[in-house]
Amino acid sequence: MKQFRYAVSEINNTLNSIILFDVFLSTVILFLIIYLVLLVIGYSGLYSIIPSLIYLAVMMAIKSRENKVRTVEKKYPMLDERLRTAADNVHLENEVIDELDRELIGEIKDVETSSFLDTRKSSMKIITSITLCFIILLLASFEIQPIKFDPVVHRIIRGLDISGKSNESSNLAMGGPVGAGDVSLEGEIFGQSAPVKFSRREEKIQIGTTGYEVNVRNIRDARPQEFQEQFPEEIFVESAAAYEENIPKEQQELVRNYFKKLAEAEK
Amino acid sequence: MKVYQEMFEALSNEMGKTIVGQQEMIEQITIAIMCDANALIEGYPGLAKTMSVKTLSDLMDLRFSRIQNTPDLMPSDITGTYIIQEKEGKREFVFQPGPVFANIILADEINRATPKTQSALLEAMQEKQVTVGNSTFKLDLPFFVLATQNPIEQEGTYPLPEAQADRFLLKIKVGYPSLEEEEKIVDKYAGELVQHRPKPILTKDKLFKLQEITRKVPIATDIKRRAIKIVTETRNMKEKIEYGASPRASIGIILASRARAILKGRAHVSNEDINAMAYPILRHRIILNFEAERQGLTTDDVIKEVLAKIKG
Repeated sequence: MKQFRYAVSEINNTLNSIILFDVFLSTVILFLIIYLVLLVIGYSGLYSIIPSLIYLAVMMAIKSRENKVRTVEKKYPMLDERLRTAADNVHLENEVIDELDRELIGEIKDVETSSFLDTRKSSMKIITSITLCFIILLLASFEIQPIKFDPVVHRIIRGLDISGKSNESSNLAMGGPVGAGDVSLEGEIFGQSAPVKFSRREEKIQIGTTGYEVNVRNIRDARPQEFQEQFPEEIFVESAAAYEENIPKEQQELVRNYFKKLAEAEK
Repeated sequence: MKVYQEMFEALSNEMGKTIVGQQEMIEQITIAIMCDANALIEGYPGLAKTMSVKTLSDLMDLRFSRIQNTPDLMPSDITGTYIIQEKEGKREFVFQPGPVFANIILADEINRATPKTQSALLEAMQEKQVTVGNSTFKLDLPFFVLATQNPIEQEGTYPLPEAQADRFLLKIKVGYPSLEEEEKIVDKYAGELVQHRPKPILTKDKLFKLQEITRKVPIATDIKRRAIKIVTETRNMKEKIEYGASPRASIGIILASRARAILKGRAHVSNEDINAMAYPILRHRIILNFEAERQGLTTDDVIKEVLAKIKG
C-alpha cells in the first residue's frame, strides 16, 4: 500500500528534522560553552569548533539509528505494536496487511508533529545559547581576561615532561639553582617587559624590523680582482757591533745588560 | 478482521449452548484448527473435552470420528484394512477405511494405546496420508487430530515420547469450571434434557480461507525476535530445564500467535498473543530437571519465569 509507505517515510523525515534541530541546538550550546572557556583561559575560541563538530557527528549517528516508529508509538499508545508491524512489513502486500495499513492511515492523521517537539526544552536551549552569546560578546568587547592560564598550562606541560630540563625549570620556579643555558619562563623571553628608563623620563623603545633594500640596477657581474703580495720588511738588530768596538772589555757586559733592559722596557 | 471476529463470536455463542465455560480450551482448539495443526488436550475426566471437540466439528460442518484408545487397539483399527468383498460373483480385496478417514479425529486417551498404534496415528497426523499394504491413501483435508490424555491413572499407559508429543502444536490444559459455571452445568444437564443440534457456522471453504489468512497476519520484527528468544531461552536455562524446545516451537509460537490475533480481531500479532501462546506451545516441549522438580515447579511455572525474563 503506497499511501502507508509515504506515511512511514514522512514520519521518518519529520522526526529526523526534529532530531537534527535538537542536536544542532545542543551543539551550538556546547560550542559556545567551550568558546567561553577558551576565551577565559586565553586561547583562541575557534578551537571549540572541533569538539562541537565531533559531538554533532556522534549524536547524529546515534539519533539517526533510533527507531522513529517506536518514538511515535511511545507518544501514541493507540498505535502501539501496530505501527511497527506495518512499518516492518511495508514491503509485503496481502489483504491483512492492507487492512492494517488502512486502519493506521486513518489514525496517523491524528499524529501531530508538534507533539514530538519539546518546546520547553528547545526554548531553554535557545535562551541558553543567546545568554552565552551575550557573555562572550561582553568578555570580548571589554578584553576581560580573568584567568591568566598560559603559565599554569606551561608549568603543567613542563611538569609532565620527562626531560631533565623540566626539573631545572621547576627548580627555577621554586627559586632553585639555574644553569647557564636556562631560560626563565616566568617572565618575557627578552627580559623585563618594563620600558627603559632614562633618568626620570620614561622612554618607550620600539624594535622595528630590519630593512634590506636591494637596488636591482646596481647588480653587475663579478669582476676579477688582482692582489699584490706585500710582505713586511725584516728587522735586524746590528747594534751589538757598534758599541762593542770603543768600550773597554770589562764594561761591555754592563752596556749589553743596559740595552737589554732598555729593549724589554720598550716591549 | 472484523468479519472473522464476528464469525468466532458466533461460533463461541453456539458452542456456549452446549458447553459451559472452558473458553480457553475452545479458543485454543480453534487456534490449532486455524493453524492446520493437531492438539493434545490434557485434563481430568468429565471436563467436556470430548463434547467440545464433537460440538466444534458439528459447527464446522466437518466429518468427525472418535477413536477410543485401548492397549489392544491395533494400527489397522485406526487406518483401516483390506477386506474380501464379493462383487459380481468375484471376490476381491476392498479397502475398508478406518476412523482416521475423517476431518476431525478425537483420539481419546491416546496414552492408553500401544506405541505401535500411536505411531500409526502420528504418521497420519504428520503425512496426512495412510499407507496400508502397498497402497497409500490421501486423507481428506482438513485433517486434525485432537488427542486427549488423562494426567491421572498412569498405570498401564504408554506416555507419548517427547519426540512424538512435539508433533502436537498445542498442549491444552483443561481446568475445572468455576462455581458459577458448574452450577450452570448442573442446571443444564441434571434437569430436563433439551436436545440442541448445533448449526454449522464455518464451512470447509471458509476454513481453508481462514487457514490461508492466518499465515498472512503480519508480525513486527522485534515481536518475532522475542518469540524466538523465548524458545531459545528454554535451551539455555540449564538450572531448571533439562531439554529445551526445538525450532518447531518457534514456528508454532508465531503461527499460533497469528491465529490468536485473528481470533481477537487484530490484523497484527501482539506481544500479548506471544505470552498467551507460549504456554500451550512450550509446556510439552520442555523437560524440567531434577532441581526444578525438587522445588515443586511445573512447566507452566518455568514458562512464566522465561516470559518474565524476556519481556516485550
